[in-house]
Amino acid sequence: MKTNTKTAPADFGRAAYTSGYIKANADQAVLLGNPVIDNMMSAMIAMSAEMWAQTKRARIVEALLEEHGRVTEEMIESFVPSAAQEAKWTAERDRFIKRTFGAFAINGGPVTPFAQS
Amino acid sequence: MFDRRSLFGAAAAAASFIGTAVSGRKASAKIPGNKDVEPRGAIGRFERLPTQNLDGVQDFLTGFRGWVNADLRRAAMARAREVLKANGIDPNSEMPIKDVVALLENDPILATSTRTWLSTQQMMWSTLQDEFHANADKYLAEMEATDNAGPGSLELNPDMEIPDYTAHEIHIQPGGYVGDPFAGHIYLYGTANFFTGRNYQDEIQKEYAKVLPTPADGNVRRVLDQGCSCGQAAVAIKERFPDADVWGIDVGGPMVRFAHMRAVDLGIAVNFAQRLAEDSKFPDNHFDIVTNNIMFHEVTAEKAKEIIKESFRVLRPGGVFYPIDFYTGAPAPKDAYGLYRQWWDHRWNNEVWRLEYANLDFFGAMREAGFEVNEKGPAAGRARYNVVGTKPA
Repeated sequence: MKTNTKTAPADFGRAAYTSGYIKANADQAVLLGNPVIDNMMSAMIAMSAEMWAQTKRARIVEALLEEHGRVTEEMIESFVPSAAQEAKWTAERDRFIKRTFGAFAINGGPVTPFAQS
Repeated sequence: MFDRRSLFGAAAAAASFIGTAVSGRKASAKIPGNKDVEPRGAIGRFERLPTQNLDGVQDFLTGFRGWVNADLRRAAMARAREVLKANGIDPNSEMPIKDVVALLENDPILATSTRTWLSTQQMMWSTLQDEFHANADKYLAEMEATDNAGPGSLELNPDMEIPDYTAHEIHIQPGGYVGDPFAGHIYLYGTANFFTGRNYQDEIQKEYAKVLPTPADGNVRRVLDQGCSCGQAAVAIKERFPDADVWGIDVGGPMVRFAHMRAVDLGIAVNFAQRLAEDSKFPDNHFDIVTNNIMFHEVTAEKAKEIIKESFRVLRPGGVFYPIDFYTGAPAPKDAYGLYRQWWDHRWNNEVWRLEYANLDFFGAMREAGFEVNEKGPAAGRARYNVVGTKPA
């Protein structure tokens, strides 16, 4: 049963047109039998996201160096990939995801009590 | 600061990869007072995220969500069928939702699917919220600069009583629609991820606006979009009916504030107001079309009925009511896995009212309010039909 206890909005010291809200409790979810295992899954996904962000940044740096022979922070931030680059990097991203997390899509086979297997 | 127009040539090429027609902004569309926060330019109407790193993180989470929705969900569905069969239950049979949940909730394969989806959703929101909170001053200044600017208008009602049922963190969005100053920013970028890259140019809302039915006499002078969130549909409706007076209302002040800012930036004249769908304050017989997009599963069954009645009140005779949500085209699934998915979205994605919505006789409520109901009206997207209500002339 949901409680209606409200949480105060973040205050940035100026009008923000917010009001109190009722927090969800999904951050308390223990789905894998042990909160540490749940947290490890979240940490793995977070680390993978950071790793991919760095990989993509490296691809941008490579593309800029190839095209301009130099690279600056501003050039990286403003870079817009071509359609071909975007397609190539998206395919690389999706392969990375399957390579690292693909094992979780194995469903474990028929449900058979261990003693009978 | 990079100029939008200087980036646009290159951006158009990238947007073509997304598979959409890119509609460039009017060169004159500007946030007043040099307050526009757009450090990496825009691709069509989609302002790029402010840093390459956040863009990369969201890119990963978008791809990861796609994989979870495809490969992991397939594995979970197969596993669910195996578990049900092992317990002597036909997976296509109807059964009480609590019994389905008891059988499936703790299965490790299903739990892994849920865990990965939930973690993705949490990270999607939290990384966006972190950005907007860390740079709150400039994002608030950007909204302040457009609060009183046009085209279009903005009505905020800070003294309005916010009903409890609207104050939940639905779809676990931090702060929900009413409790975070950047609810609109977070929602726009979060749903870009949620739709796995298929909505960067508001493609879903444009498709919905395209099929929006009109009154039989063809007159469309005023349109109301209830529960408009960050305003994408209201903008798309205005683009379809450029001569109509289009209103978007939402309980969330930060939502309509962002929606207005975005519409100003796009140069599209929509009126946004912080109001309740069940108490819209508009006169009787005022609108030609009243519509809403994925709103009803976010309200209680009682409020859903009130909103339908209010829609009838503000429509003129012959006016059209067009709600789109999970079950406005087909009834809620009753098979075991379908029920499990409904419960799962309710429980873990904090879709607080989804089960009430699934059990509501929605078409019956429309008839009760006075509408003539066509259950097989035009649909957007993959749905075959969608309900249309007409206020008798």
